[in-house]
Amino acid sequence: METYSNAIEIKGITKRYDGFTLDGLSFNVPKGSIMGFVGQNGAGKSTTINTILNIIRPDEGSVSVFGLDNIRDEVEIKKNIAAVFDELPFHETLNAKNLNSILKRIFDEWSSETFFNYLDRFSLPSKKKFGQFSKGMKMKLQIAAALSHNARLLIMDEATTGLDPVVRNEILDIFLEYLQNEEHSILMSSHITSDLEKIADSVTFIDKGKLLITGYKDDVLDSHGILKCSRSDYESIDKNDIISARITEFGVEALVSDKSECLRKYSGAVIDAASLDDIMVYYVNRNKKEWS
Amino acid sequence: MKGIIVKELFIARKRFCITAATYFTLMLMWILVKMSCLYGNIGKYAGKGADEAAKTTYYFAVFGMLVVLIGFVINNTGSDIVSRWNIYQKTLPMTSKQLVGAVYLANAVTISAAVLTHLLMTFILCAIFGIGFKAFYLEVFAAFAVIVFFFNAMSLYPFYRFRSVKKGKLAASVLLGGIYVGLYIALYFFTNSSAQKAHEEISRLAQEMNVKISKLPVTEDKLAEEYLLRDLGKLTDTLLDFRWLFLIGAALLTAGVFFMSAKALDRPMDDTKPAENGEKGAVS
Repeated sequence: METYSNAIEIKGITKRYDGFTLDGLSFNVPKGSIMGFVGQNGAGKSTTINTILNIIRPDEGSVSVFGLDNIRDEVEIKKNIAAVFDELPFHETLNAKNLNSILKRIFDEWSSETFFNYLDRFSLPSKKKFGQFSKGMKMKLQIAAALSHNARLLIMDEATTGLDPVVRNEILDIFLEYLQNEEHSILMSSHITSDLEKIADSVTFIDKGKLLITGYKDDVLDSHGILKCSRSDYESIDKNDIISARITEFGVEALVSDKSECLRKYSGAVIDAASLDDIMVYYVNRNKKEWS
Repeated sequence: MKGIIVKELFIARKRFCITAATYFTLMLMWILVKMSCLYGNIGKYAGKGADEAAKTTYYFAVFGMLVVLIGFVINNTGSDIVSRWNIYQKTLPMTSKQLVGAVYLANAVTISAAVLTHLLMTFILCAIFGIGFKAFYLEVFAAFAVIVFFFNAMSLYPFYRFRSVKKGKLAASVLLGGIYVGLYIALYFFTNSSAQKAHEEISRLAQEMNVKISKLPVTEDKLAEEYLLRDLGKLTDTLLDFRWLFLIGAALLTAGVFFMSAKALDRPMDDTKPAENGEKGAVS
């Protein structure tokens, strides 16, 4: 495989459905990093991931993975990627031993030892049928399978949704371990922004099929802030400086995208740090401008 | 491909148990009938004819094993859709031809195992009961096994085309129903034709011999039976004479369905409408 700087490069991806369009999406997942892919339900995260995995084909645009075209070099790419979905995609009559027998004959670099080590670590039984697994067990099983064939890229579609905080923490620690190898990268879609705040290096926000923000997480968090003021003070603020504002009976809270500039412009203004959750909520309401 | 073959065999374990149970139950029943023909009441009261009938029915009774295997591909592919394996396999480093080929191979392995099992049982029972081994019956059995393989291969395409368990099973049922109706119509044609010929012959004989039909040394039913057996014999001979042509035709048709299935599998998952009633396996 040639050298590459981005594990995934998405250029101008457009996909049209009735009532929804993924519109000219472009972003990169740098090698050796975790990209948090954030958006509401129905924003287009799964559509984007399905496009990367060549499960669906875009109407326009291109995707390259490891510097290779994801359609022309599909088989080569898929030797080195692992996908984790929100629902277990394995037959309920199988058990972990059966799955090992199947996957070791599919992936050249499959390691049964690694797989069973993860099963032990996750306390997953090897002979119990998957139909009897809980949701957390099913997710851990998928992750164990994903991490057992030396994949360079992990693509996770809402993999931690519906899991309790203890299990989610455990899984996030595993991902940080996985990234010790600089050749490894993760694209993780989620609307649980607290998970992404913990581990993501970069974030991409999408809403209604459109790209809102993409960049390093720290840069995004540093540049955005929640400006808090009274309703009378809010009237004097240039509306171009805010993304959207939440009007409450106590005052106004507005998201600004250039915190330092706003601090300079509105001296004395109180601008608190914004979380990824705040950023998502305020951006989603950007068309309304003012909401409550 | 090996991984997919193993997957196919793993998820069909229950079907294999049903197949084995069906086969050995039918075998046991046949052995009991045979022993009764030789040593028991059937032999005492019905004589040698019953034993001959038991010999013949042996080969056809075990078709039950192959009939159970008809659903092999339908159930496995339906199970793939319900479990969403069909989406997961799109992330595997395999081409669509490899995936379809693996299913075909698993199908062939299963049916070959059934034929070999029956071959072994046949040798054992022929040795035990002193039955003359007739290769013809095994040829018929093998031909039926090829038909089952072919039906399973054809069944795969509608599942990949529609990505719906309901539509796939409906298409397979229509195919099976079509085969059944075709065989029924063919058999009806033969029996009708034989009955017609027997009636004409009986009338001619009665006229020639100047006697009533009831006084003739042969009955219309017996004559019809003879004509039917003769016509079926001619048909069998024709089929056997041209068996290689039929096999080549079946192989070409199977190859055509193979490429159509691979092409259908290659299509993007959103190329079909989202399944009705929230059926799993579709990408919305």
